[in-house]
Amino acid sequence: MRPLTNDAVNANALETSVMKLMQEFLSQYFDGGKHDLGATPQVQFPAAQLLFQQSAVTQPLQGSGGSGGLAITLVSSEGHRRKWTAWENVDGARQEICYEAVAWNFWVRANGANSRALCKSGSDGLFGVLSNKAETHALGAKGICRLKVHAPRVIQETEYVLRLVSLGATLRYPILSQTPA
Amino acid sequence: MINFFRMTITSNIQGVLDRAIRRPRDVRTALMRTLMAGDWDKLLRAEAKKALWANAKQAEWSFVDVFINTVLTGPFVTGFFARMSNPIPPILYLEDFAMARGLQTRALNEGSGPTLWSGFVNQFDQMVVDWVANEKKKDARDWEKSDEEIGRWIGYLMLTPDSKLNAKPSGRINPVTGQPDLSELEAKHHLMKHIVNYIQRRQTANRLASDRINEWLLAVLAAWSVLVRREFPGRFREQLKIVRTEL
Repeated sequence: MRPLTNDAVNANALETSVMKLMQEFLSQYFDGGKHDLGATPQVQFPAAQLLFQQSAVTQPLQGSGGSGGLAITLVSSEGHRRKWTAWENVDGARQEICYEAVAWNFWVRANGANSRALCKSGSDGLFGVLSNKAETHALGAKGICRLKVHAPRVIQETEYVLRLVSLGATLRYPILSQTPA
Repeated sequence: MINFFRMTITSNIQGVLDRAIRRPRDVRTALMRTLMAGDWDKLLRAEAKKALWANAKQAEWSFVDVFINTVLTGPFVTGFFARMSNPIPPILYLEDFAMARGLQTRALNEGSGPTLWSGFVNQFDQMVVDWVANEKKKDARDWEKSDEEIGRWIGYLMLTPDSKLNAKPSGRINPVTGQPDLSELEAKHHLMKHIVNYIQRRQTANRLASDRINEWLLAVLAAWSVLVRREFPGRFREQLKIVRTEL
């Protein structure tokens, strides 16, 4: 696990800060190389194009050989976002912290040669990373905590192979309107 | 000095029993309120839109709202249903239109009003009129006729069986070409390749492939399934709390 360099989750740029952190976190793994995953050394990850919300996917998906590839699109899910607050000690000062339960869907898709294997390794890798507490600690330190990931679901296996990995999480960020007491 | 001490022990067993009796009723009421279709409709539409936006290629963005418009929710027994359907009409071939015209003619001859086939026949007639307006090479013979008149005549030729068309030329000389006029049957066969080509292009242009339609429908179904599983417990607990605080 490498610490993340982007700013922590921020109430003034909630969506942007979360997406930047997820981008940085996932791009550490989905680069086509081998990475240690918790106690498991040298796990092979495929290279993937990371997309967020309504970003358009390049067609065909860009792979290393130009013959297809893998894309992972993170989309925030609808639903009631339960929120609660608590006063906590932050750097020696009292600060009101907001906790917000959120849910995301990761659409993992692949095309081209070996698209099924590519999509499978992509969704398996995503599930493995997000369910590994040793790895997701870096996200927790930046305010994306209590991750609860659901196993990949196969949606379609034709020209484009599509799988869905859903994730529940709790965002933790300071309420900036409050003056630290 | 203590003069008097009294300890009273009472039981709230009656309250517990009342609550136990009320419990199944409360659960039923809370369940019914949780499963009100109206509450879910907006949520499911928004989730479907997000799922489709995430999966659509840029060239397919215009189809997203067309799919969302097919979402239908409503009460179902003690809960609700939600449905999304394929909004893209099937491709029809000349034979399909000819069959529709035959069935419609037979129904009209038997005294029926507009039939289910009328829509298909009108669709075909409109496509032929559009072909006349956009692609037909018009000459002096067409100048005195409107596109609708020419289209109606060509549509009649296309959907009428060969055996019912006149195979003999009229013998008139075409003032434009200087050649004898074609018979109805010859005109049909001459025009058919253009019309078949045009209606195929019209129906297949700007269209989603079947695989993509399946993928979109399955993606939305999966997103809905995850959403409902995640949302239901919280909403039910919330409703149960409200029911229990009601007098």
